[in-house]
Amino acid sequence: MSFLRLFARYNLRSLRTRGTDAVSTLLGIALTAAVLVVVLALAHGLDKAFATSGRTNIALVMYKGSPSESQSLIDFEPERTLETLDGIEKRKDGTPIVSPETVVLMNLPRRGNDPNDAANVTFRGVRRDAFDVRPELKIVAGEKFKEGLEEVIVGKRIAERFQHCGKDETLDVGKYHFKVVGIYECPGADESEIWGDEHVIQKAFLRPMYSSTRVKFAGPTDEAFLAALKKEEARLPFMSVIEKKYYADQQELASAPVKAVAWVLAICMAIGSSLGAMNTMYARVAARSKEIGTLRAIGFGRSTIVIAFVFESIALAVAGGAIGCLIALPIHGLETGTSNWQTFSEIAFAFTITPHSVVPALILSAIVGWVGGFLPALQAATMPIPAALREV
Amino acid sequence: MKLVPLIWKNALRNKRRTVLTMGSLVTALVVFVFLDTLISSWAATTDTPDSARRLIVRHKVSLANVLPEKHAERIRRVPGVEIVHPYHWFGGQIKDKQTFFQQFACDDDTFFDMWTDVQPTRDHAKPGFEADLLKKAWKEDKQAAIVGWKTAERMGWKIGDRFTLNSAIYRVELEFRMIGTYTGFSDDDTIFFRRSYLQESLGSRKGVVGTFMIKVKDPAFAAAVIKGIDSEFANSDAPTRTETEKAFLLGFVSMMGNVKGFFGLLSAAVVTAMLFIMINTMAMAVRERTREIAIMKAIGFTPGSILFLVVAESIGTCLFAGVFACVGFRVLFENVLHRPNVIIFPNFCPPWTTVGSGLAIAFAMGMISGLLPALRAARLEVVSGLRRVG
Repeated sequence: MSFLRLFARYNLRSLRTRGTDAVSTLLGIALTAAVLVVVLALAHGLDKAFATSGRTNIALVMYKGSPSESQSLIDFEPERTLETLDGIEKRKDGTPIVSPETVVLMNLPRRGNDPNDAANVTFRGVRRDAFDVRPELKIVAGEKFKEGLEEVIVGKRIAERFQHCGKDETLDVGKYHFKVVGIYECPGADESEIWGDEHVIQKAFLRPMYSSTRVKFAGPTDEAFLAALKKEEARLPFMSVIEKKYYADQQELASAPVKAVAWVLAICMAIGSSLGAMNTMYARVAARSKEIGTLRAIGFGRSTIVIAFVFESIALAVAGGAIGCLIALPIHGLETGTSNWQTFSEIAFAFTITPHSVVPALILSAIVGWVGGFLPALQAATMPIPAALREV
Repeated sequence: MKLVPLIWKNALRNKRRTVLTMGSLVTALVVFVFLDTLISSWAATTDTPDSARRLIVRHKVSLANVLPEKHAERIRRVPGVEIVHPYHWFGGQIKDKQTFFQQFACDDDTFFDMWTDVQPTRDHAKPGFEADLLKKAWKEDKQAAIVGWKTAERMGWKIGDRFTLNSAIYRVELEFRMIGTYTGFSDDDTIFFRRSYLQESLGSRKGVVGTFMIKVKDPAFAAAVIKGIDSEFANSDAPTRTETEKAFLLGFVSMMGNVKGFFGLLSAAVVTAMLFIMINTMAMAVRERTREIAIMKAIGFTPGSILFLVVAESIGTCLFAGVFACVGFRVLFENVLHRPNVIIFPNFCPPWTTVGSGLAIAFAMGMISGLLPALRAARLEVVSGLRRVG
């Protein structure tokens, strides 16, 4: 434990020596940590957008083999088959909640100065069951669209980021002109959409069929229902997936490459920073040869010195890492959007800094400090005492 | 020039420090080159002379909507149009497993005249090999498929092999026979097959087209043709949106949002971190040689030559690391890994412009980090310098 005493009394206080060296190494490590935090925040923001999507008590039915709703077409009447299944949640009046929906994509320009900046936005043609299936959806401005009319409600994130999507604006789809009568909020991917009456949407987009159907049931514990659903699947050309799993799979595809890039970047920068830290530590050790010689002469053992100096390096690095996290902090909550490559449509998300972004960055900084400090510390511990004492 | 050996000796004076510095420079430059290649791959559209003559016509409302085949006649009559080529994005899968290569169903007769970047060959290592045999097979076999060599290799297919693709969009399962491959196109994994085969299998649903590709007689006509086509169908049931092939491809890029800006920011952070490390190192190196520099000034070296020595050493170290990192990275991806597919980018390889940028940054780094210590060294008072110990 003597290294702790040595560290606290000597190394910590020597942090101030060779200040400019220390500061530049610190800043280099700070930037490494900041880059890792920012890119992980992007990945976590994406994760969050998907993770809050989907429920475990909704079964999503699409055409067999469809990679996503927008690429699925059901040309038979899904309600007839599905509403007979035991276990479907019913309304108070006894009618089963079965929501066939038509999902189409339309290219819309984003708000901003670049006229070429556009993305595909999801339009969903629904009936009242769609709202029963998603009780978390709340209209926060205006009102719901009326059946049969050219009216739509727009998810808050889309309204903010795309042209013609704000309240009381008009969206032109071919010969149809949809008035935005309301704005809604809903946790997860559902908020990155525009909803309208199913019949009007189908006519406007020339898509007289459904893309998917959602049914609400008791939950993953209802094995009888899931078994009955599987039986129907064998009979008819559709496939069912629990809604939560549908979004979880998309999340994998969306955030996995981002996380991969984050770590590749971070590791490369960490290697660079370690080498820089090593340089600095060697210089620090060389400058304090006399002190180190003295320490050893008065009896501090080699391992004590090694550990104490490594700790000094780690302390410097972690301080840099902490500064890096602080630099990255302002990005938290920054809203942006990108295309979900699975569905080809826009998904809005916000950079999210969580302990999952900060802790790896700090650990990485500590590792940089450890790697950078080890060899110099060894040198400090093994330098011949007389020569060290003679150094000026 | 006679100072060069001195610069060399100085750089190698503290070998460990020089090695460590170059090591961190190399890793940082590698990161920069990687990010910059990502950015340029993102916006990469290869401009061949023919690509300026191609337009894409799609349904105005959504790329996912189909257009009626009958539009072809009216498009053909627009002045300036040379070829009208209906085609489809097939969106197929192999046995319920998602594929990551694209497949296109293309108009049988105009395929080779339209997709001129796709150069048919029966051996991807020999461009144009037995191209006539391939074209004959395309005409004769309705199930003919031209398969990019990377996909063929991954799936283990050879010429003559059969495979099945399942399209969720068109809800058909089609069997194909590989008749050859191609070179020259922007990626090496695409599959092209005959549209007549798709139409035949659609039964009563036939008569639709996913997109039209148009070739105009002269690129100068493009704007007029775009206007002509879109106004022709503006009031029909299937209004169109026409754009140049380049604009069409860039549209997909813009869907990703401001990724370019984001990666640019990351690059800037990396370069700045590098700068701190380099400045520190040069400052350290010069500080240690204070006495020596004083002696040199005492024996007659001018302040100017001292300045030159320090800056040259700094630039030299950085450029050395730069060449190793940037050119090395390029050689690695081009000659060793043969332009692999990285994440969603086919043929990933840093272009010479990126390598150049990297070298320029290394040079600038050397300049900036060497300048301040060099100025301090040049202005050093000989007497105080000699007095310094260590």
